[in-house]
Amino acid sequence: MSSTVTHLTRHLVLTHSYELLSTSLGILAIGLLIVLLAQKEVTRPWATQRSLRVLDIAIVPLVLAFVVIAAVRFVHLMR
Amino acid sequence: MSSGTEAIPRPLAAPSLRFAAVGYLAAAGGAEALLALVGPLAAATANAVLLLALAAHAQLLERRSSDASTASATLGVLMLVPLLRLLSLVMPVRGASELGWYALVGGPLLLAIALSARVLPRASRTQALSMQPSRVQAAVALAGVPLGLVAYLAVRPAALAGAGDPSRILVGSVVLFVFVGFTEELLFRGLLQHVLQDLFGRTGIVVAAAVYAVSYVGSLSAWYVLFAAASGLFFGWCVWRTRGLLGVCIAHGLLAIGGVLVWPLVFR
Repeated sequence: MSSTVTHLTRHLVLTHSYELLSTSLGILAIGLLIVLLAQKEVTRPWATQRSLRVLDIAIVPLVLAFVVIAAVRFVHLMR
Repeated sequence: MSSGTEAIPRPLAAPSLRFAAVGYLAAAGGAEALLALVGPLAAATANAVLLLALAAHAQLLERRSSDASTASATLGVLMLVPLLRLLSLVMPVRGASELGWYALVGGPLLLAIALSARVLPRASRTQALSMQPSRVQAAVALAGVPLGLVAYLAVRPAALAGAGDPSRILVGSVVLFVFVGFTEELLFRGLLQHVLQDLFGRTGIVVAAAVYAVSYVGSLSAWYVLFAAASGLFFGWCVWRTRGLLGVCIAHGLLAIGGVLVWPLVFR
């Protein structure tokens, strides 16, 4: 009923181990965040305010994703 | 030049930007095909590359284009498509309930939509996200009830765990209303359809509905993808005719609540 949580999403979470998802999709998301943050810093000297804001469209949600990934990892390690 | 009244059609964007947008949307469709045919890592990698390409292109346009504000804002809105899929693959965690997954994906996506709206020119943003209540919007909203039944009959999802609990239905309704109904409509009919209409005229409504339908490939149901295409066209037409988003946001919320929470209990 939603394009965000589909049958494939459900299948992915319920049939794959946490380690597998964390070391593949989690690392990919964090890697993407690092590249975008680097891009923002590298282009800052010549970039306009608006072009930096365009990067924020991806950076801010990925920071939230990073917080969730790190928090779940922390909880997993504490168990 | 233009007096800025709503009756006057908006001028189309440069052909190069239209060509680029078609390429990016085709690539997003390819990434969805990878999700269904290859696996989540391949799809997530493709979406990450697409996101980086869009971000780099938007920054280059800011330097070169004479109409940089519209062009980079358009690419900023297109960034929401691969971002939606990335978040939907990364955010759901096994410990959280399924309703929690909707919030985990929808929360950051809603934030991205707000940031994306911020880069649009003010007049464009006001037009794209108009939420004026009216009788017509109320009629459009009520269409969500029968659409929810059709959606349920297309995929017949099982009832969520504990779905009979009234408090769970209430919380679930709020979650689905905000993180499915409003979030998806703000994205697909609000921002995406608006920039695609700037690029392709009325064809933009069809393109936005196609992108919306392709984003449902993960349902692995051809009937549901067809239903998504038809409902996307209907919602897009309603937004174009009424120049308001409120009706389709509520209709989509009611559709999701019916399909996920209500109809599975009625027909169990």
